[in-house]
Amino acid sequence: MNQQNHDRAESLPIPAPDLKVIDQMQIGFVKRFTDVKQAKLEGKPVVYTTVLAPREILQAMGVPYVFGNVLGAYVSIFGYSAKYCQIAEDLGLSREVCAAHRCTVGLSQHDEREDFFNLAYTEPDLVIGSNFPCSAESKSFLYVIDRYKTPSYIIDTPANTWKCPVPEHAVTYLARQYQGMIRFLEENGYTLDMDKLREEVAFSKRLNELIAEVEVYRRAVPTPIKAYDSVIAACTPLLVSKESGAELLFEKLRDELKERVDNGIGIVPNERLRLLWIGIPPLCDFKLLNYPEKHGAVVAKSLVEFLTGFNLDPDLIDPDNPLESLARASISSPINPTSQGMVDYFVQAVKDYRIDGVVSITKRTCCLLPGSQRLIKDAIFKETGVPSVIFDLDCIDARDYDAAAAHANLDSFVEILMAKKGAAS
Amino acid sequence: MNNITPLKSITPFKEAIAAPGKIALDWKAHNGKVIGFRCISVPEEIIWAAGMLPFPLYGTQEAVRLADSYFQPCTCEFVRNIFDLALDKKFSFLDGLVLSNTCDIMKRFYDLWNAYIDAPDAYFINNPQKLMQDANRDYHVEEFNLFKKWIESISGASVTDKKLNEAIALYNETRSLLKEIALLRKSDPPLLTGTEAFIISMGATILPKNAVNPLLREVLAEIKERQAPDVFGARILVTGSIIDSPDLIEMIEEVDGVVVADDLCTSMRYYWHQVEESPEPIHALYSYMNKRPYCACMHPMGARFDYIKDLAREFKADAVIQFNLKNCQPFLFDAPLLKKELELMDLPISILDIGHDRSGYGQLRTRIQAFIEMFDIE
Amino acid sequence: MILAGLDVGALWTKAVILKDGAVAVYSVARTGDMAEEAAEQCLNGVLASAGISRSDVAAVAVTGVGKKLIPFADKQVSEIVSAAKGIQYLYPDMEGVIDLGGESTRVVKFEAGGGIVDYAQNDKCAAGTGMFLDAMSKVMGIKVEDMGALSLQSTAEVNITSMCVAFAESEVVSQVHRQTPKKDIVRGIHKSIASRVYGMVNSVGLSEKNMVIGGLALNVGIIACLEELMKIKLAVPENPRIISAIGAAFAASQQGE
Repeated sequence: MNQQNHDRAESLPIPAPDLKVIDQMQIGFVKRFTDVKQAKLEGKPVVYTTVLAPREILQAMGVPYVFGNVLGAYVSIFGYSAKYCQIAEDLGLSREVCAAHRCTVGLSQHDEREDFFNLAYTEPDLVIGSNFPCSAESKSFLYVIDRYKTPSYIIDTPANTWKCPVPEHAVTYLARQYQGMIRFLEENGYTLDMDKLREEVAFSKRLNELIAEVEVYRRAVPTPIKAYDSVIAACTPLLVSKESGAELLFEKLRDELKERVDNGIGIVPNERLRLLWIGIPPLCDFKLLNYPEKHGAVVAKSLVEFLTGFNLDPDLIDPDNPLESLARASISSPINPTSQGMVDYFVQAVKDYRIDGVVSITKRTCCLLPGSQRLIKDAIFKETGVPSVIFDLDCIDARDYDAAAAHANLDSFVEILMAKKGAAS
Repeated sequence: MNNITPLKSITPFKEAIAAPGKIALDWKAHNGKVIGFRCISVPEEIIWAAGMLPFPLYGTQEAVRLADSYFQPCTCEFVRNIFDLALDKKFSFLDGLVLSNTCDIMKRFYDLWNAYIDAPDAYFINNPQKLMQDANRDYHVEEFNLFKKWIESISGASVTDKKLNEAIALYNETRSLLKEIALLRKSDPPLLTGTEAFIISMGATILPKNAVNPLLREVLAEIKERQAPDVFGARILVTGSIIDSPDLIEMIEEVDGVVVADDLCTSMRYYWHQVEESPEPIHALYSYMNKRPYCACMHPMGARFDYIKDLAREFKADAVIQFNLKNCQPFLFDAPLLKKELELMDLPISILDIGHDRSGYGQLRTRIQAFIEMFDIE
Repeated sequence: MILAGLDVGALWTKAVILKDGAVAVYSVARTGDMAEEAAEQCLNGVLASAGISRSDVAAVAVTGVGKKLIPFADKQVSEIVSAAKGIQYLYPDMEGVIDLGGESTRVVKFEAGGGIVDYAQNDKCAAGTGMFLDAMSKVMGIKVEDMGALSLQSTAEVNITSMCVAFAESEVVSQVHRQTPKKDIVRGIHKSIASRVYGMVNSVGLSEKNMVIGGLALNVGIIACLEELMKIKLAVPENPRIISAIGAAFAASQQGE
């Protein structure tokens, strides 16, 4: 990269994509936003919803939709968290409320938005909310309903206290919730073609199979994909549809990773440590994910895929039984409380991705993870002997972000892991 | 506040709140097993019908110590406090624990209890969080049936429909008596203070219902005979996160507020509605849980707000106070929207953050006093 | 091999010279406003006391909150590692350290003579640190160095429940107005600090083979309260304030270039 490009890259709030296909994925995101805008102009009711809602149904019914979570994330990524959180707080929302959702609420309550948000945010006509996976998710969409006085439907997702297999009455209940969602959309002008739904579910299955293939390459040493790139890849199924070429993008991703792995190419020239990042990615300082690379430590795997409903088990997805299988896959997702699913997943991930150390961050306004961190840490250590560090990192509301402390914590942990590895060799 | 003749019949309720464990140990010595539970979405009647005592988990006002090694300090103080008690073996007398699908941190409590407390694994009732709808019937009924099986496995006794209906009748009587007492607060001035009413309500959630019903009748009789308390002040409705001590109600009433009603799980929400008589008691319990007032963890939010507004009208509240435990996401999210809703009926609301361990109570009292002083009550 | 270690804290800078496997000299001075200058002076001071020059020293290692401000150091070592290594250097059988600092507290568990197994650190709030004690001493009007001994004279339980300095100050003021004996209030303050530390000790699972270092380790009241919670007798090294500086130097010699 020449100096000019390097300086430009340094000045951006986000790291430059490393893999070629990631740039294409990001371009695909922009197309999604413009498609929704166009649909609104054509008089189609726009739905505001959550990334963990069954988008297969929305796709099959031709519904244009915006994801509150994604918009809130962009607020933080592009450096506007202070502004939009303040807007939410001026409404009376406490600063103790989840920072990610304060960003989302603030954005929905204010009409003067920056260019990017004017593109990405389209005023909704309908709201589909959900309690999956946490209390904050369960409440923040109420502010959008209140602002726009929209009709709404709430999907009630059972917590997963059964691990696997999930019992039939829970699957049936969630499938009925999805039927309710379909009826709600039909009442608001949309129609469902069951064949289309089967196609969309088949496509989700295919995508999850491709994702599983991609994950096999991610486990390689040295790791072939940067943490930021993996986050973009995780968001792609949400924002790039079948028609817009999502399948091809994942095939390209798989092939690019395969090429690197076959040639032993890693993201850093001398990979010394592999880290697992548990916790919301540092949205207001995305480059923090790449920070440990200066020590030769890479973030080989993170939690982000669950936050975007990415890593559903493809074997559970059955196009001939669309609603029930989506319900089963959703309830079984590791992000669905209670914590056992997440614990089991991370213990396995530490083994699969050959992790040397786990970084477990506490966002102090979160309710989902801070009660599970010790449990996950102990389970990983007991099974694998791999240590975890737990530290506070408020990385969504920039007013609370302490880069120096974050660096110091990562430096300390990497130092300890290096010493441990050095002693072992 | 002046001219209040203390109620003698309130003593057993006070004692229950001060030492709930004693009630449980006494039951174990004479009657049988004790099953802990949290929250009130657990159908106690099923436990009672099996011959066991349902024991609500309450905290103390001590600072959290050991639990911070398991929960991050940014999580709910109430849950950390009861986890502290669990780590300290203060719940070791329980023969079982049942938890339910309410908020994030209660789900973490379930996980951490199973992982770290030296006791049998807790049971989790996976109740729906979207209520007031028929679509959850089959699911919720099945969850209750599974819970019943678990209870039977612990008690060794079968929970027949007959026993369940008897339990429902007993609990309905408790609810009815408590409601009768609560309705005495509609008058101006109310015939009992908010502090008295809270102590009686919360005490009643702890005491075995066959023992508490005669005690409630004594309370009613004594209230009717005593001289009405000479209490005048701003009529306050209290809502918020779990309040498991009379402190906050007392604080309001020390600064010339009168707590006439509440939307609290330790008080009026516990008993406001009745379970309908039915040949299918599990279905009756389901209908009760599906339709009665609920906390901010549940949907639809609108129904909760309507309940608060109706209660405020019925009890002629001058204002509402909502107490939010630190980091309590469901109530924190609701607060500004509730405020907007109450403004439409010209009902002022003060939203106050509280710690579970009495920290900052000096400043809190000042804020409550300032709020109450806004109301010029003669 | 001669090694130099610096621990640059917010209030105090410590320097040590390690020679022939022992501490040759050490010095403690105020950090003041200019950390680099203070560190330079401290280092020069110990070099002079040891009768050696800078070129005799194999490496200068620095730790502490101000470590990034010391460009002349050869090596930066994290406070966690330096606390652990400091104890390992002097007491090779130990398996843990509790570092009670002025602004931060850490608990580190390690294998005897080996690597770090787990650690917990509080550097976000005053609870459990010297800052909490400083704030309370001002409220009580008692010199901070007298607080520990006074707490040992306590005969009654007083609970200061809040971990937040602002609320705790309020509680202390209320107790003073209630004429609660100062020795009992002071013990309540010490218990509050100790309980925060104990939470960290518990999360890491320290064995009995550990020692307490840092400025607050000199406070007999804190030590007594911690011993009560941990149900063991705690050991404090002779100079608990310089252990991290020793550890920085030792860690640097182990890590090599």
